[in-house]
This record gives sequence, structure tokens and C-alpha cells, in this order.
Amino acid sequence: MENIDMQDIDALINEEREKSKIDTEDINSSEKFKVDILAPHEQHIATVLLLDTSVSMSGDKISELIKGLRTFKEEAMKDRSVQKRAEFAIVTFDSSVEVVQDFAPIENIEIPIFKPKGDMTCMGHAIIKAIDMVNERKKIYRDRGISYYRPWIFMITDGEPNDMWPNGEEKDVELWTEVIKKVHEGNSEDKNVGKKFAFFTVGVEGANMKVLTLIAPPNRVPIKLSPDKWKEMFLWLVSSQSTASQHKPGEQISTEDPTDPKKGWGKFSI
Amino acid sequence: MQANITYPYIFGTSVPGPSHIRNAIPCQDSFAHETISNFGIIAVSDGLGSAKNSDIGAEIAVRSTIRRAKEILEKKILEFDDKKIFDDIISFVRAELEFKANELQCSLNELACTIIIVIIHNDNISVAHIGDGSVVARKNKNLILISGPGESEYINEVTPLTIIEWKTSLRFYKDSEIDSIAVFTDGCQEAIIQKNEKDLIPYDGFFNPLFSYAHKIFNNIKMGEKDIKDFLESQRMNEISEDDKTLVVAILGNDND
Repeated sequence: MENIDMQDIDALINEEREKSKIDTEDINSSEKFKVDILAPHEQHIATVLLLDTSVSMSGDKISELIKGLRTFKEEAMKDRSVQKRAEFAIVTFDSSVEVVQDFAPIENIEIPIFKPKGDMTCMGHAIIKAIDMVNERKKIYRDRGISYYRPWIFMITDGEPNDMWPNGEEKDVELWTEVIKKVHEGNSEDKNVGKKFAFFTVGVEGANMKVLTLIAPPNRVPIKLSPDKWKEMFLWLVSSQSTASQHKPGEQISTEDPTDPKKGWGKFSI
Repeated sequence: MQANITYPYIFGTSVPGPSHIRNAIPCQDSFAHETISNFGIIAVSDGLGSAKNSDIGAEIAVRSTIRRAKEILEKKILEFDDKKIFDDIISFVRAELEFKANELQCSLNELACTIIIVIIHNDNISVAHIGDGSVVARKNKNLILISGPGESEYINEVTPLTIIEWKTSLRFYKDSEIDSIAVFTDGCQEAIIQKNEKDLIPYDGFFNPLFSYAHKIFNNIKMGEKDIKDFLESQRMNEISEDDKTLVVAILGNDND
């Protein structure tokens, strides 16, 4: 797996700075006006793709997912803004939670061949992991003086969690309560506890949409993927990332409607 | 030998960002300035991308700022208390925006914009600021960020002066022994302000030559405006930000170079 580590990023920034010192002709409009400016410093947007790889995903669903991710990479590579500004991580969950790809620019993302396994769907632990990852990434951006947009967590599942539940065993309830609080608060617009990330939930065939509705933030209800619309969903994800990474101050993120009857790929589950 | 120069003198320009040119969106930045004897007033405003009529809002904000500030300074309506003056000006600006919103039959939010107001008096400056953009000054040869873009975690978030609780978002600063200042919108920020974990630092490679240049062109402000326009429209500036850009420079007195 090829990742850019922070040393590489520092080296890249220094290299750009050196280049900028030489190339000042363009900005210096008259003989007297001779200034220097800083090298371009791309704003960043971090996205975690949180993917269910439990056994129920076997067969068509997992191959559609892999195919969709490949299309996603291909299309994202064509978009300058996504290429330069977006960073993606891939986290899978089944009987365990695995970071199969840490944050990296799209060109360095390798789409793995997922092999569904395990009789558990550790969605609760996976969500906590994704939230920790976006928080850590934001800290890295801050430490390096990189401006950034609100990160995204994009979860795709065909089931329901069985490492957390609203009632029953104490540990399940505890995790349920923690996850719901973190997801709902973090995705909210509350200026004290919210605005930490945008949390998207997609249920594919077989998903328990009732439970996903409880997990998803109230202001971002889950979307049920329509049959054979995997490709459309991933194309939407590219165009949304492109839009999100080009927003100017004060602009609200306005993505295309995923439930549009003609161009959309799913239905809201309420 | 220094020529006979009248201070302060002020010049600057606004240019639309390439994304606005491509999409036929008007420039949402606006600026205005005025000098009244040894006072100078600068107003800079950036209309929010999310607000439909923010270009109109920004223009009204800077024009009404100058109009009200002139009235106050010329007719001495208020005693010279910076905070009272700024409160009065911003209340006046908001009333003008509300009037326009009524006329356009839109909400005040559709005129949402930021505001930076600088009052210069001899080598003293007072600044009132809501939203992003920045003011950089040079004091005894040191560059100081007088007012930064405000606290906001994400790059696309900003507080406009049209919010009801604008007083809680109003930042106020004053300083003295200043020889030069630059006021600019966030479209310029990435190119000329360095960031580390805690601080924003004016980039000396930009501001020192800019101020030295501005001190030399006291007799040719038009050229200064053109040079700044060419600079803001340059390809390298556009590569850094697709946003509208405004840069206004004021020279308060001799830089003793």
C-alpha cells in the first residue's frame, strides 16, 4: 500500500516554495512592483469510506462494490480539485475493523479485492474508528497550517450492527449510546459540539433501514441504494467531492440530489 | 530629502476571481476609501458566496460605511471614541442593508457580507472587523497581523455582518506608530499569510516590498492601482485562489528608510 507520509508532504511544500521564489515574473507587473508570494497551499478534504465486508456482502454486492470503487478512482483522477485536495481512507468492518487504506490522495489509493468474512458486523467500532481518524487528520492539517473543509464519513452496509444495540447486553447498549451521540452531535450544526464531519449512510439490498435510520444523523437520513445503481452512487461521490473541495467561504455544501428520479441512485429511507 | 507628501494616502483594487468570471457571477468583493484632512477611512467587504445578492450587499456596506464615517468625522456628531463610532457606523450599514432588502423583497441574509473598517488618524489606526479577510500593518519596521480572518475551523465558514448577534462577532483593535497598512479579502490570504499551528504570520517577502513600493509612488497612485490589479489578476494568484480578491494599501507617514 502506497501512502504519502508527512515527511513527503513537508518535502513537497519546501520544493514548491523554492520554485515560487524563482518564478516571480508573472506577479510583478511593473519594474518597481517586485513582491514574492507563498507557494500554492491546497486546502484539504478528508473522506473515510466505511465499508461493510461481512459475509452477507458476498457475491454480486462485493463485486459491485469493488467495480464501483474502481470507477470512483478513475473518475476522481480526472478531476483536478479532487486530485489535489481530497484525501481518502478506506476502513472495512466485518468481525473486525481494518484500516485497509490510510488517508492518501486518490492517485495513491489502491482498490483492494475485498473478501467478505466473519459472522459479525462491527459497525459500531468501525464508526468510532472513522470518527477518530477524521479528527486525527484534522489535527495534522492544523499542525501543518493547511486549511481544510469539513471531512466526510461515507458508510455503505447491507446489514445492521451486531456489536451495538439500543437494548440488551450492557456493552452493546454502551457502545450504541456512544456511537449515536458521536454521530448525531458530530454531524449536527451545533456550534459547540457539532460540525465535526458530515456522516452519510447508504443501505444496500438487505440492509435494516429502520436501524440505519436510528444510527444516521437526523439531519442526514440514510439512503437506500437502488438496484444496479452502484456506478451512479460512486459518480455522485466524485462530483460531490469535487463540489465540496471548491467551496468558497460562506458557501453551503450543495450536492446533487442523490434521490433525483432521473439522475439519482437511491431513495431516502424515512 | 522627502518631497512634500500628504498623508495618509490610500489606493487599492478589487478583481473578480476566475471562477466568478467563468460562471458569469459578479465580483462579490467591494472596497471604498476616503481621506478627510489627516483622517483616512477604508472599508472592505466580501459578499458571501451562498448569498444571492451579496455583491449588492458588499457594495452597500462599503459605501454606507464611508458615508456615515464622513458625517461623523466632518460634523463631529460623536466624540472621538472609536468603539462608539464603529457601533454607530455598523448599525447605520445594517439599516441601509435592511432598507435594500426591503426594496429587493429579499431577506437580509441574501445580502450577507463581511466588513473591515479602518480609521486612520496620523500614525494611529482603529479597526472594526466582522468575518474573514485581514489587516496587516508595519510598525517600527515589524509586520503585525492587526486583525486576522477570525475563528472558524473550516475554510468555507464565515460570519457575516447581517447576523442578528453581529455585536458578539465584532472584533476591535487599535495600534499606533504605524507607517503602512494593507487590508485584503480572504481571496488573497493563502498567498500572503503564512500559517503554523497557532499563528498566522504576514509574509515578509510580500509585505515589505509592497509597503516600500507604496511609499515610493505617492505621486502616482493610478500606477499603484494598476500594478495591484495586474498582481491580483496574475496567473499565480489565480492558481492559489479562484475567489474574488481585494487589496487596499494605506501609507500613514514616512517609513524612515
